[in-house]
Amino acid sequence: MHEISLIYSLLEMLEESGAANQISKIKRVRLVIGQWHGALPEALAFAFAQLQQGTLCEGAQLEIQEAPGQELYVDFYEGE
Amino acid sequence: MKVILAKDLLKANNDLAQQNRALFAEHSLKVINLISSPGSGKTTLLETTLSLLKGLRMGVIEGDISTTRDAERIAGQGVPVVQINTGGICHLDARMIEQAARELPLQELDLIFIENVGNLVCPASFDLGEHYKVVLLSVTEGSDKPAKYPRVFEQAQAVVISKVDLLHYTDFDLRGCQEELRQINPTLEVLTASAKTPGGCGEWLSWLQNVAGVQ
Repeated sequence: MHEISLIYSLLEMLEESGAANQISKIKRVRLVIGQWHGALPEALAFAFAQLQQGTLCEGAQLEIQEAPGQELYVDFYEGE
Repeated sequence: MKVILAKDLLKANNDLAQQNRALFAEHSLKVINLISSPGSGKTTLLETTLSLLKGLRMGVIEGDISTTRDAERIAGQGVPVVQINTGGICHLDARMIEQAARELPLQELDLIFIENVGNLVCPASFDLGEHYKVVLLSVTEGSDKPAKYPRVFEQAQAVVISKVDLLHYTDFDLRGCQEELRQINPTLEVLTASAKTPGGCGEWLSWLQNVAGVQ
């Protein structure tokens, strides 16, 4: 599966939004993933843990909320 | 501070796919994304199609993890072809197609085939800007594949059950498989083909002529 490339686009998205909102550190991110999307929650969590270093998300907690459909989106993030 | 984002992770890909679709529309092109497991006969079906389908100007984008072997086979048919090597990535994405399309003489073509990386799972998640997703399912893979990998069949507009000349050597349940496919996706066009039998691709060629608007 392509969880690593999905996490790259997540981190890119958060860098962009964080910069626009003057956020220098992100502490918590919630991702919503549909059970039919095909991406695996464990693999997403693993990729996030590996790739967060050196980004706004370094040390951030990833929460994964499962949903019934085919969606995969960032619900919200918290930072300061 | 909490920021509500509600943003799709594939948004960047989907935006680019829309751009590709607009580019293809500008040139009145139809684009077909061929998806299957490795070894189900995508390249062989394409070779036969390119040699038999008359009245349409065709081009091919080949996607593989490595080598240019498929592009060399397609070039042997005398059509424009671009090879993408994904270098380990398990699917093609819209950015790769945008780059490859720049290498093709779009104004001289009616139909582009994109041969995706051999994989029944990941290519289903990435819109490339194509008009039709077509899944190949060879009888040697077994008739249980649609039930085991339903997503790609849900997303497709057509399925070609390939290598039907080998049906007698396998325990592939053709009727059961066709029924299961229609349950997964009631609007799916289910075709059969044998690229190595003279006249074995009739249904597929007619379907192509139909979608490309050739009478």
